[in-house]
This record gives sequence, structure tokens and C-alpha cells, in this order.
Amino acid sequence: MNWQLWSRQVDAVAWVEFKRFWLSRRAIGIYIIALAPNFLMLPLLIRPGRAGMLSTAYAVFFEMFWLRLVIFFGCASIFSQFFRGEILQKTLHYYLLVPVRREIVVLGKYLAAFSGTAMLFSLTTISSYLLYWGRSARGRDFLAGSAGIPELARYVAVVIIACAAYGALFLLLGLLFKNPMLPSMFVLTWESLNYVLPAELQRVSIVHYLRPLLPVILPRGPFVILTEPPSPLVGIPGLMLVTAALLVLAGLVLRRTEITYSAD
Amino acid sequence: MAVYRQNYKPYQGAITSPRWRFMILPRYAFQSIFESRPLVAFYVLCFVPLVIAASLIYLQYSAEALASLRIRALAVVEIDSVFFGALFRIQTFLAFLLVTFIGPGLITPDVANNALPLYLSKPLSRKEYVAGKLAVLIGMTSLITWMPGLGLIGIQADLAGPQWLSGHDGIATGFFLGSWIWIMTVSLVSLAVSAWFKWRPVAAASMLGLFFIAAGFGSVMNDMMQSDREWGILLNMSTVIAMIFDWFSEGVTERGNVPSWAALAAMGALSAASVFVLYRKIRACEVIR
Repeated sequence: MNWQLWSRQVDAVAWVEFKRFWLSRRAIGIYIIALAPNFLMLPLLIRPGRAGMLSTAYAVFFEMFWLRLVIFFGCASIFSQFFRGEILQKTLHYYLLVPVRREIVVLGKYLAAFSGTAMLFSLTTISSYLLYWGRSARGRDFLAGSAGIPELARYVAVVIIACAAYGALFLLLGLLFKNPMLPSMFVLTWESLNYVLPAELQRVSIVHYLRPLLPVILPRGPFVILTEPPSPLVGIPGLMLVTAALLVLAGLVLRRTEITYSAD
Repeated sequence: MAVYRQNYKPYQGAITSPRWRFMILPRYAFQSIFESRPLVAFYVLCFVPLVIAASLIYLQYSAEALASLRIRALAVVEIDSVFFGALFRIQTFLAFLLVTFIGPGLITPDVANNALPLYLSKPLSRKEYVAGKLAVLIGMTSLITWMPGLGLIGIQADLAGPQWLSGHDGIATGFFLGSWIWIMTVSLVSLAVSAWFKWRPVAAASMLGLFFIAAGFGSVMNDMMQSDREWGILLNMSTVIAMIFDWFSEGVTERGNVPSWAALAAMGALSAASVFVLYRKIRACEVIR
């Protein structure tokens, strides 16, 4: 086991991939979507008196729009591109021809996508939170108090964990499916409606483990089947283990991959 | 035949009329679309709500069938604008999903593989190329939206009598015009997205993002702004088309203090933007910087 060599190879793949994706025109759409909440908060700076200053209002925005739509679709389109995009560009064979273990290629690509998404979505979460609370004296008092910054830290933690878990899932889907958007739609439906499923099935979802980490937990409607929320001490390591398992699976899939570009 | 005898011979077969040349594109597109089994299965599923709706209409006027089935609850289902409005929303959503998964595959491969010069070197103009691709989407979505919708309205009018139709004359107009506005808008957006992005999954993701993320953005915008007029609903395509249907079928002129003409204008703006993108992207040559 040559850990030093593998580490250097992972670094090299991750850095090349990071530059290839995040500094290209392809990423512009992602940047625009990530900045969307800031555009949303800007009018509030002009007319701060109209909207309420409630943690629940930000919580609704964060869970319903930011986490379930933007981060979900962002991860789906970014992570699935890292392999599917290479197949469509007919460039994946370059990686498969170099003397590098295929698991290293998976890990390098994952790290490049994860570092970019986590950084981008964390920064926009911080900026939207500061814009939301910073528009009035009462909000600024809340930020300066004991609850403001810890609440923000929890939101950022949820963003990073969500990017890690959804990222590993969509990286695998990008390897398995020609059009990863079909399974992504299934995952979206599953994640959105999992609260009406029996308790055992609710555990088979990422959002089930993310919700208890949120500082404000929203009610989920009349059809909810109540279950014991998982403890963060179980949920976070559990999600990390699932992420690792998905990456191992992606490595195994890539190991058996034979490219027939004509089929795509 | 000896090789030296195989020299040039002009095409002797029948020539397609210039007016209908664009229909050659759908012919081949349908072949490749129906090769996908999951897509065929989904297309069949799109007809299920229509079959259920037809059964409900039939059962309303068949006391014998209701009695034999012993389903009293079905007798209270009223066949009115609410019923057809719900059916319209279901079918337009299914049409959107269909367009999302078919549309990106129509132009993206041609752009990605530099095949546009090949098409446009034939006696086929840019407009005809787009019309050909659009015909695929219009044909497939019409079969699950306005065509069966008008058929069901006809069945209901036949069973309930002409007085029902005179009392609900806006439903047929709403179904027909609403479906066409929806089909044209989502088809043009889908073609524009597929011409813009060279990758099919990215184009499909953009379509889904446009539908779901824009709707979420609009909803959050309304919550945050708490304005008198909920302009954010114009970002929700599903609500926009429902506003148009309600306007045509029942004469409802606003929703959330937003006038219905604004919904029509939003669809028009989206279509115009898509046409502009297609005009810029569908070209026989491309400058790569």
C-alpha cells in the first residue's frame, strides 16, 4: 500500500478537475443559482419593514428552497457531470489509460466537486443569512447575541453534510445511468415525500438525517408519519459512512467500466 | 456490377414537397424515441388519468354501472370546470415531463456532434429544422393534452345534453388554448435549452431546474417580500398555466392580486427568449473561441 503515492495522485486529479469545472463557463449557471438567495434578500434591504423578522421565515427558505431544491439540483447537475460529462466529451479514456487506480480517479473527482460545491453553497448560505438578519437593528441584535452565529454554523454544517452525501449519490448515478436526471427525479420524489412512508423507509433517505441538525424544525403537514428523529451523534457518522460506501461502490463500478462512446 | 460502371446517377425517386420537408425530421425522431422502453412505458402512463376521467364521466350517467359497482362516492363527483381544471393540470405536468426527457435529445446530439452543417446543407432552412424538431414535441404532447381533453368534453356534452355545454362553454376554450400555450412554451424552452447545452443530462437538469427551482424561488420571494401583489407566482410555470386556464374557462382575471394577462405575458416572454436562443444557436457554422 503506497499511501503517499495515492495521496499525491488524488491531489493531482482533484486539482485538475477543480480547475476544469469551477473555472470554466459550464459553472456559470451554478454560480447564478447559488447567488439566487442573495438576489432575493437584496430587495429586503430596501424595504425592510414589510417582511417579518422570524427564524421560521429563514428556516422555511432554507429547508424548502435552499436545501431541497437548490442544493439538491446543484449537486445532481455538478456531481453527475464529472463522469457523464467525460463520457459525452469522449475524454474519460484518458483517465483510464494513465497508471492510476480507478478508485483514485473517483476520489479525486469527488473531492474536486465536493470542495467546490461545499465552498460555494456555504458562502452563499452565510451571505444570505447575514443579509436576512442584517437588514434591521433587531436582526443585527439577534446576530450579535448568543443564538445568531451558532444557528448560522448549524445551517452551514447541514449544507456541507448535504453536499457530501448527495454528491456521492449523484457521482454514482452519473456512472450508472446514461441520463442521470431520471433517477434524480426519483430521488427528489423520495426525499420530498419520505415523511409519509413507514418509519423503516424514512430511514433510507438523506434528508431524514439532515433535518434534526437544523436549528428550526418545520412541521411537515397532516400526512406525516411521526418517527423518532435520529440523534446527530448517530446521523452525522451514519451519513459519512453512507457517503464512503457510495464512493467505494462508484470505485467498483468504474473499475469494471468499459467505454463504448458510440453507445452514448 | 463492375466498379467502373458505378458512376454518378441522379436520384430518381419521389421528391418530398418543399412545404412538408420538415416532416422528415419527426419521422426519424419518432423511430429513435420509441426505441426507449422506459419512455414508451411513461407515455402509456400519461394516458391513465384520461382513462380514469373518461370512466368517471361514464359512471355519472350510468346508474346501472354505479349500482353494480356499489361505489356511491363516485356519484358525487361533479363534472365541471374544477374537474377539467384538475385534469388539465395533471396532463400539462405529464406533458412537461415528457418534453423534459424527449426535448434535450432532439437538438443536443446534432450540436454536440457538429451535425447541424449536415442538415442545413440539404434543402432545409433553419426555420424548417426547428419546425421539424418542434413537430415531434407538439405531436406527442397534443395526444395527451388537448386532443383527449376535447374528446372528454365532447363525451360529457353528449351525455349531459347541450345545456351543459352552454353552461360550461369556456372549458373547451380553456383546455384548447391553455394546452397550446403550454405545449408551445415548454417545447420552445426545451429546444432552446437543448441547443444551448451540448450535454443532454445538463439540458434535462436545466428544464427541471427551471420548473422546480423557479417555482420555489417565486414562492420564497412572495413569503419574504409579503407584498400586496404576489408577483412570485409568475415564476411558477404550473401556476401560470392554471391562471391562464381559469381565465379562459371561468373568466377569473387575477390570482394573488396578479392579473391573468401577466401570466400570458410571462409565457410569451419565455417563448420569445427561447426563439431568440434558437435563432442564435441553430446555425450552419459555429465560431469556437
